[in-house]
Amino acid sequence: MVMELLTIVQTSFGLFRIAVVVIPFLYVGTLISNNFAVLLEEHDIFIPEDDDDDD
Amino acid sequence: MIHPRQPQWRCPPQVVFCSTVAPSCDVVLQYKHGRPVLAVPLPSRQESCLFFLRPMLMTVGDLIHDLQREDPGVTSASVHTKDGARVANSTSIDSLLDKDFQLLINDAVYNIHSPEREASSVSSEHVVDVEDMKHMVQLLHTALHLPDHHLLKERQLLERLDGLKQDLSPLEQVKAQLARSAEFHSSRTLWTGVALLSVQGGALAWLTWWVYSWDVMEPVTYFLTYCTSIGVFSYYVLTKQDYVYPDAKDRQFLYYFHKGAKKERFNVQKYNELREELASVEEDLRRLRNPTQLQLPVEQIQSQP
Repeated sequence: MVMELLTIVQTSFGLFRIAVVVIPFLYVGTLISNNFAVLLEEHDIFIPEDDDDDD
Repeated sequence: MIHPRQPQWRCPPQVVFCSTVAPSCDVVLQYKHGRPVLAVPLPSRQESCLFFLRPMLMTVGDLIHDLQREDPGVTSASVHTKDGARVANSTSIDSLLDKDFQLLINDAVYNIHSPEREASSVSSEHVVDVEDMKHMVQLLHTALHLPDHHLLKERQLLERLDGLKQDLSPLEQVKAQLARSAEFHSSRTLWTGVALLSVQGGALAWLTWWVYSWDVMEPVTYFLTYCTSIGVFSYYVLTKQDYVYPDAKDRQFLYYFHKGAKKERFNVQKYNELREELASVEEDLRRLRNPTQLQLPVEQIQSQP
């Protein structure tokens, strides 16, 4: 078990693969949340009040 | 004044006459600081003299010589056993001190009681009896036959090793294939985890900055985090394992492995038993390597972690 600890596991093109997964799914998340917010507003469940910033 | 050397005053054993100080008949041998000390009344001036004895290095002859050198008035000195038999000058003090003995100085007999010795000075010599002979015979037998026995055992172990490896080789192939598939599935689970985290991150970020504000979103994020911690604790409750990534991944790997094994009808238990047997045979062979190749004694069995 010690020898396993002393070797580094390296995934080839690791950072690239992570980026390939994270960025599209991040975008998917925004789409989901946008549709969700539209749904909420459509059915009058939650409508945010547009209050401006305080002076 | 009674001169002890006068023959008509030859005293019977255990009685000594003197004028100034009456020496005790039983001269006691004492141990001072671990060394035996003999207090002997010298005949010339009737004074007690301490002789420090070195049991392993001195002989009876040395003691007598020291007595005579100390007091020239000692004409004859000899050591006898309790029964009266004379002890040779070449006897070491060590063997003399095992029992009580008598010291004769100029016909005066002193009975000397040898006290119990401390355990540290007792040698491991004892009377040779049948048990010792049996032990010696067993040692000889071992010395003559052990190398051949080791070689025989090594041959047997190598045969078993061959058999086991032959049994294992088809199983190893199936296991390797199952392991590859299970590794793929568990790895896919991990990447799915990355994807889900990105989805959550993207959704919350969009809602916070583009749709609603942080004041709206903050409680949402708090409760999402709280639900995650509920999930982590439930993981422990259900699996009795800490939620740490390596262990969780190994758990997933084993789950997929067993699922595939059931589909392929791969007997995991039999495979495990064979592997354990192989490990123990290899361990025994390694232990035998010392006596047969390096002429060292056999290593004892150590409990495996």
